[in-house]
Amino acid sequence: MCPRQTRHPLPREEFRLLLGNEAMAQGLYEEGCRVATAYPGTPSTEILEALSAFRAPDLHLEWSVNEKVALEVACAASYTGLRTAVIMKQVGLNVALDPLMSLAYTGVVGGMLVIVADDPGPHSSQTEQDTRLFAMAAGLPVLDPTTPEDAREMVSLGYRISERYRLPVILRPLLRICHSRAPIPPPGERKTGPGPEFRKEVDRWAATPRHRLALHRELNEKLKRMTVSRECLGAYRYLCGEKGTSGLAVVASGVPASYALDCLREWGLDGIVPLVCVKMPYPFNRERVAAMVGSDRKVLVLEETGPFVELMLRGRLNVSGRYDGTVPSEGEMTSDTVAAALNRALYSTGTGRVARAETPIETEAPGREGDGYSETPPVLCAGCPHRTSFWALKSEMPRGIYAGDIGCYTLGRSLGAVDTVLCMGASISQAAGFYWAFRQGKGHRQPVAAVIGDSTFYHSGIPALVNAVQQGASFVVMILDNGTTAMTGGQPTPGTGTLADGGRGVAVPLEDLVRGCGVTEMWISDPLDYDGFVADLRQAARTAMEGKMAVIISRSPCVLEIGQRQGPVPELDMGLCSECRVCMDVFGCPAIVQEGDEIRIAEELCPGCGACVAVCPVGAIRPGEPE
Amino acid sequence: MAADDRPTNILVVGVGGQGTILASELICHVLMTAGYDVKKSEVHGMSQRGGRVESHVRFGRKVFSPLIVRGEVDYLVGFEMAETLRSLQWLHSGAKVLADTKAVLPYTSQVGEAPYPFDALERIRQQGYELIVVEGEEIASRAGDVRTANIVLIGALARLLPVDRKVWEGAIRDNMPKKFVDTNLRAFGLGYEV
Repeated sequence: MCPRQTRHPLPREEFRLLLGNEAMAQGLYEEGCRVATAYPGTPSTEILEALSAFRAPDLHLEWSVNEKVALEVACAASYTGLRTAVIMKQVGLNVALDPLMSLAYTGVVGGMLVIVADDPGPHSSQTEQDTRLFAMAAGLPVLDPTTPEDAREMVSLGYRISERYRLPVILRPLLRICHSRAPIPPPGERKTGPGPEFRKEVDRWAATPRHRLALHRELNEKLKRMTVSRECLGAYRYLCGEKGTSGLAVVASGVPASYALDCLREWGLDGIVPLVCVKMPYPFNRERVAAMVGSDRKVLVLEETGPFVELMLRGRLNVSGRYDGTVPSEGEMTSDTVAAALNRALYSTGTGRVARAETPIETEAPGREGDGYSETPPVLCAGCPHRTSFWALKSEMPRGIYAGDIGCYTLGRSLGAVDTVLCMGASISQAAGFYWAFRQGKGHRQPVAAVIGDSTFYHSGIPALVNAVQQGASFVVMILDNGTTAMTGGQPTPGTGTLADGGRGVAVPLEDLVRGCGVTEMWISDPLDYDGFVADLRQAARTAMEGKMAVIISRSPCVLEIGQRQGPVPELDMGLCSECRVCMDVFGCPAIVQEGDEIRIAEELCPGCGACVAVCPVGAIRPGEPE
Repeated sequence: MAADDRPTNILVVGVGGQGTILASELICHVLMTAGYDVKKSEVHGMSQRGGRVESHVRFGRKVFSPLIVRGEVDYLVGFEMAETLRSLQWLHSGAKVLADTKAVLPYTSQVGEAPYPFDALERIRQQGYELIVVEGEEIASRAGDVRTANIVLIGALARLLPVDRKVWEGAIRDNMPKKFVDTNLRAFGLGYEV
């Protein structure tokens, strides 16, 4: 059944099968990037990790405290003429937008890449925002790779454009680029550049509003020049069908261009239907793209996640896409979405291949398999100290409003201990908002708690805490301190003092920061010492109700980081068990399982944290005997 | 493009902890070594122990897209019965299915809230697909380590793909920790003979 395949002409023994993220890291190494900064976030995290693995002695790389700081560190280094990169996920760009907007005016000297990974779906984010729209808002060029190979080459192209126009360049890989693998040639030699030199130019680097106007004009002139430049015009390519006769043309940006190309090739329509790939969606040369497409054709635009190229072409050509609703305006576009959209468009223009024209055009959605068999939703790990912290919070503040935050502990939703999640660091400011809302009512006193992870607190919880203290708000802040950025794979936090390459930096302890924010009432407590933790939390809750800000640092290492048994597996006495299932359904420990009629603690899953002992309402779970 | 140039699509499915990703990476490595262009995609992120793991592998003279279109899978390699059954909508009518008999019950099935398709293999056969059933764990324990069930299935797949057996064995030697190589080669060989 397997068709005979023609082999690739290149000798491929030396190629390595790399993730798009690893391919971009290789590009950064080869192109001589000298300062790379990042904040971890899916799907961008592996880029800095893979770059770190090259161990280049002339490269400073760091997990910065947040994306704004990361961008500022990298941009100053590129003022000195060095090549730099700042790496983040799409919602990280919201945090970094303030310096980015201003940096478009000042420009840079050494090449600077702003790598922003978009997450349509979203698979692991709070929004599906499209970074290309931010590029246009800032007035910065943006590159949109179609394959992992492309992503590596765009690192090189991005640096060339950045240095020619003295502007940072945004490289926007989609999740399917970041997390797909493709054969990549072995790393080439690392480019070297001149050392740092800072030329003082106060009207640029410290421009006042009058100079800002001039810089804005300069930016607009750069963009205008760019739209007719070799780089911009070279970014529009026929992937197939240059001389095609079809009444349909396809314009695509990002990985949907690859889906479309493979579909057209497999259907034998690659000679008939023109497919124009837009590798640089901004700045955009409408005339050139319109000329490539031809004005008498119907045009289907395929892109993630918003309608960008479609809006650029609207009014000029007969376009359809995500704006007019031909393709759904939300959700990830997969190869299925593209195949269905192509089929429909081919049918409507009378061009072959209509076998599945009736297939609905849908984006990917959870549960799409729709077969009635259950899938396991993500849960906190067995032995995770966060579960115990949430359990204590619910039992000590049962009437509380719980303002949550971004991280593994968002999964505290299933314990009923997370009521709100907005964005990084919002737990503390939202708790303050709840406090002031209820404070204005008469008589009723509403207990409020903010729950925030250690890495998130460093990222953007600190200004919120300063603000709440200074305004005189009082509530409980629970900082879940597991010593790592667990959700993204265990990157070090400033609390540990460990650097991105594993070296030693300077630790910045949480408790010093909390005191520095003006908090006088603080407890540091281990949630796995449950009775002690509950006693501390009770005091904290009382203190908050008495009108003082109360911070409890819930300190216990991430169970994935220790990777060993914490203690003996507890024993479940089925003679006492009332089968109320609180330990399974409410506490939700995945190590407590039911097999047939029997409930048991699965030894192979249980790390022996012992937290379930306190959870059982009838005392049927006892601490295990030490081995 | 000539019909011969249509890329071949392999869908590898299982649940967390079964070695699905390792297996699909080995497949890709072999195909790349044999001179094909390869693309592979899987979703990481919130997947946890027990959740579905799905890898798309595409190979041919030139491949651009990392995702398979539903209805275009040529080979389905299923490490877990229910996940194999739930993947049928991806296949075209002439596809081949390599299915392990392993059942991993999700939590909701353990507690009786959701049914589990114990008759999955029968239903796959009824739908007319060519089915190759592999008793992965049983064969793997004969090879010396029950954890090599994924390599047993790889062996069965290798027989169907246009790459010499020696290339597969070389890839196992190159990519596995030394002390596991012999067991894995035995598991591969037993799978190849299925």
